[in-house]
Amino acid sequence: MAKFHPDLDLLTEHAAGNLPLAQAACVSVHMNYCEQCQRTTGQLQGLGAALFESLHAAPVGDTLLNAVLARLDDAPPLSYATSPGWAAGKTPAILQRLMRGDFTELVWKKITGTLSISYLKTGDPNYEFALYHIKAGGRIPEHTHRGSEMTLVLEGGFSDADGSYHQGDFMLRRPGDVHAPTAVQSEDCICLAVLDAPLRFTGWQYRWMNPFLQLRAG
Amino acid sequence: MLYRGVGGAAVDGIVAFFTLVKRYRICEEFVARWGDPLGPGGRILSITRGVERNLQVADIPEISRADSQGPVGRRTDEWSECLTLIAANQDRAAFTRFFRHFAPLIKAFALAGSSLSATLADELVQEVMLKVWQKAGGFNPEKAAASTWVYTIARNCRTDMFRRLQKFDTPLAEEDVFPDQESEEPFALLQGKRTEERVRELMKGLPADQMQILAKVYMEGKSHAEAAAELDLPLGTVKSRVRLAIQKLQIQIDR
Ligand SMILES: [Zn+2]
Repeated sequence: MAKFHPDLDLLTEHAAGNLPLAQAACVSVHMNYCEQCQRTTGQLQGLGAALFESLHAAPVGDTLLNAVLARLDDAPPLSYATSPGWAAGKTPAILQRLMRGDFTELVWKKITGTLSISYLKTGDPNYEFALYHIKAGGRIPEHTHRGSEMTLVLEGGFSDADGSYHQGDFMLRRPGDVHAPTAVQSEDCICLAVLDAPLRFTGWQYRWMNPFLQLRAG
Repeated sequence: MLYRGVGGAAVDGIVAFFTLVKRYRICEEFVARWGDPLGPGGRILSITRGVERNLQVADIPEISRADSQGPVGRRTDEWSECLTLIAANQDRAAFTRFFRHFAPLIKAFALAGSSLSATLADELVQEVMLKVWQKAGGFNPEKAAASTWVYTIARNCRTDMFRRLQKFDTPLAEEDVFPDQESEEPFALLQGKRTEERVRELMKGLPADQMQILAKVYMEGKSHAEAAAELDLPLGTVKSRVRLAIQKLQIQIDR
């Protein structure tokens, strides 16, 4: 069960459908592991529905109705016997769609001895959506954020100065936050990270890499 | 009109009573014999709901029924029934009734914040109503009101339309971001539906400044930051008004 969640502001923006695609996808993956946030989001959608019902109706003529009726035959009802839905434990459906395979089949780009990154394509032009693979006990060099970073633990876990995070845990880092996450000793850690600006390493050993850390949005 | 209110209150009372029965397992025998009174197809609930529907439908002229807000819960039942008919029989008459009620709301939603042209708004209405036709079988009346279900479809379609207009090349549809939840246990479902009704009631008491921001965020699809810019308010003020409203609506954030 996840211990770290998106805050209420973020959940509200999510329920209203206002988050950028890459961020919405990340929050959606958290829900896969978190019943509490599912419930809250359900209620926040209920609020949306109440507002929807109280809108001033805009007139719609019979032409539109007839146009829709004429198209019904081309839109056969869907069958709901095998709806996949949410299922804790499995790789979240939305990630399966973006990965087309499992973690081992992805192309991993090696950044340091313990860190590899695989970039996934969401189509969101402003955000990088990537999987980070940190070897058991491995450390991501200390870095800061130029923009916002959402992180979600998919497998294993890691810790930094603020706490330790496990499957389903969600974090939002703001510009200027500095940290150096270390993976748990017992197993490799895979995280999802959504960024709107590249990381910047702060330690002298890795600083030379900063010019090469470009945002891979899209 | 009086009996409509009385009917609603009676059903509320009966539901509340059986919720307690179920919660405290007072009558295991009763449940064994009659089935779960609140579960899908539960006899008691369907009987009382049936009575309620008859009361509601009988002798009320077509127009006033479609337009009246009525006490909470009853109008919802009529639209749930439409969806059930569409799913079971591909009932075009039910679909037409459903269209006449919801299409104008979907169009208003499309036009909110003048985000889409009238032509695109009509296109959105068509898309949403075709989804309604196709997905009616996935609607679970135990879980949500028909209006909540339609609202989420309209929200998803509108977001997808925005992304198409911005020429996003994405493998994801908004339906992937908001997949249907797997069925929960009946008590939780009922609780969820009760919450929806409570939100509707409590919303009437929200102050105008909070309603204005909720409308911007939910209906006009503005982020908190965009709402702040448009209303010339600090971002913190917008966020705190939204949070305050949510608190007043007794939406639970359980962590
Ligand atoms: Zn959560």
